Amino acid sequence: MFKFKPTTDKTLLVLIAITFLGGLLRFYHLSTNPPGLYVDEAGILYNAYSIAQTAKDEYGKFMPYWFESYHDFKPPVYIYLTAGLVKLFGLHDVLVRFPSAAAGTLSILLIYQLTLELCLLGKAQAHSQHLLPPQSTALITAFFFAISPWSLQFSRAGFEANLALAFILAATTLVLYSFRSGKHYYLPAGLLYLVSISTYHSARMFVPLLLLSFPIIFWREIKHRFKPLALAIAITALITLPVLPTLTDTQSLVRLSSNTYLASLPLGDAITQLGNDYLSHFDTNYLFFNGDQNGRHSVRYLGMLYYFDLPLIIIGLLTLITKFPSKPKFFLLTWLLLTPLPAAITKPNPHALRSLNILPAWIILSAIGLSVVLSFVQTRFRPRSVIRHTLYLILFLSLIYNFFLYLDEYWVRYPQITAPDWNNGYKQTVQTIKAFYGSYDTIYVHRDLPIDYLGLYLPIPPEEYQLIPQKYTNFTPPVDKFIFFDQAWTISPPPQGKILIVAPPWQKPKSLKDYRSIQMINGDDLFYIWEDRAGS
Amino acid sequence: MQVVNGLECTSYAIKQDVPYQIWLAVTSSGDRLPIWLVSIFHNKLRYYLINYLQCFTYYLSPKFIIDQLGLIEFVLLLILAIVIIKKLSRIKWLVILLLAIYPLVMIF
Repeated sequence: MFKFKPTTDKTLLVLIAITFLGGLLRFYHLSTNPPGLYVDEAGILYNAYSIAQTAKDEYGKFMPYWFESYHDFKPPVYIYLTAGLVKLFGLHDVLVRFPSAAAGTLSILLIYQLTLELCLLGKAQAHSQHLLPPQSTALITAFFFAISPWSLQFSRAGFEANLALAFILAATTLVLYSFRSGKHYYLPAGLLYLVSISTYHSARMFVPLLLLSFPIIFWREIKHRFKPLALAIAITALITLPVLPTLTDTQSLVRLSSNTYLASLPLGDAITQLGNDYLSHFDTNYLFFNGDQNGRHSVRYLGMLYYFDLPLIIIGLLTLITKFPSKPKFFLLTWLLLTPLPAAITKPNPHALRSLNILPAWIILSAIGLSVVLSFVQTRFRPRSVIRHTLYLILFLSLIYNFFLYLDEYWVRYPQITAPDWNNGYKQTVQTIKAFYGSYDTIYVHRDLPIDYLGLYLPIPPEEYQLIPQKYTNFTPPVDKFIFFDQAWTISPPPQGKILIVAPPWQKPKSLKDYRSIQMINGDDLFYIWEDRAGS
Repeated sequence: MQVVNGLECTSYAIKQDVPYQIWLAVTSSGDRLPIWLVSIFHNKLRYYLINYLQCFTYYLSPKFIIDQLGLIEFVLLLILAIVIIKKLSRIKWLVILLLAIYPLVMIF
């Protein structure tokens, strides 16, 4: 069996404590912050509900590979995992976030083992005088990952990229462990890589590139283990064969073609643009100060990494380049340089979600940096010296201050300023509609409220939902007693019956006094709901 | 602070911007936290320190250098810096010192 290598009970205890902290940060109030399901989460959850109930997606397709959803063709793994949870526990918002939060927590253990393998790889005694012992460096990595704003951001919502990263970490750890120990876990690693490329789009580009780099970096290991490796590759390829056409068909490229700009530019401009977009992922403003400006991808007023990561990464990078043996050095640099590629060929840039796979490299570099600093302090100053304790105190305070600064942003300011990004208020709107459902004959719903939110929170049974044609277009026909519209003033009510109208605030008639307001968490009005008279 | 084209990265611009940043932070989180906690998280020292650090790194970032020089020149400069630091140990401290001073000249 594959074993973790935490060697001592003390290390194991600390690792468990770190994982517990990471789990707490990821699962605490998971359904309420971020303050609502954004459209992709709603799409994933409804498709999972549909699969759990009928084994068909929302379009009535039996157990599909690609889920059409909002015509963006979502990969299957996350949806099927959520479907399993929905089957077990029923339809709840939190279930769409659960796989991502669990993957984020599991990744803490995986990155610990990955760092350990990297430190042990190539008999890294050469750098032992500059670093703490491998277990300590790996524990620092696990701790930094557990509290990483980048990881927390994507662990606390239904992001497939976070699950794909966990699969990639697990697969890579297995490969490195096999290289070091002489055991053969290549087949499970191959299968995990395969699952990762069926989990998120960017993995379909990153994983093959990473695998191509292996023969260059680890030629000696591969040469000595050629037979088991070849067998694992052959079996993985055989398993891939049935899904290979679907991996390369037009549906799978819809997401790429809708987000890339390269084809529309002259070659010279495309290369310059690609270079700029690629390098934007190494921009210090993005990494340490402002983050990705998409409200779902960061807290906006802080970077993707902590302030204290900046000096630590510089020290870590310099140590890696100058002191590390070639294999872990080139492996980590290759990982760092390959990961922004899937994001760079699309727009906008820098993109924290599509380049999420870069995070382990930054975290490991930062941990190496801290390991070097602590090792330096330990060797230069006597155990009871004032300077040593002062330096420890400075390190501890800057880390704690930065961590609490992030918690303040995430738990106090973030839900308020990004409420619209998370479609906050949509659930409350549908719940209000549901409360009035029996009292009205016709309910006019503005198209700003996507139909799958009605599907989720009324809910509409999947068998009925699958029959609705032209979902997510401007031509959705009436469903049950719901009629969809764009402008409230164009509604021509039927001659009889009671009518309810759900519209954005700016479409409310000026003379209307009696209406109900649905507000977002920040107090802004989202929808107004009012009764209209038939034939008026 | 949003650094778009570097115009924000002068000492004067930082002085102008910090009060606004503090006002923005305090008004959006001030009534949900005790005032002593707000002043620990959102104070002048933090914003000045972070803004200067942000601008310091901005002038060393690939984005700024590429905008000023071009992509090929950036790559050549990077190679030159690595060669000097790795091979010419006598002048490497001079190079590092220059790299440390030049953003300060740009900011002030």
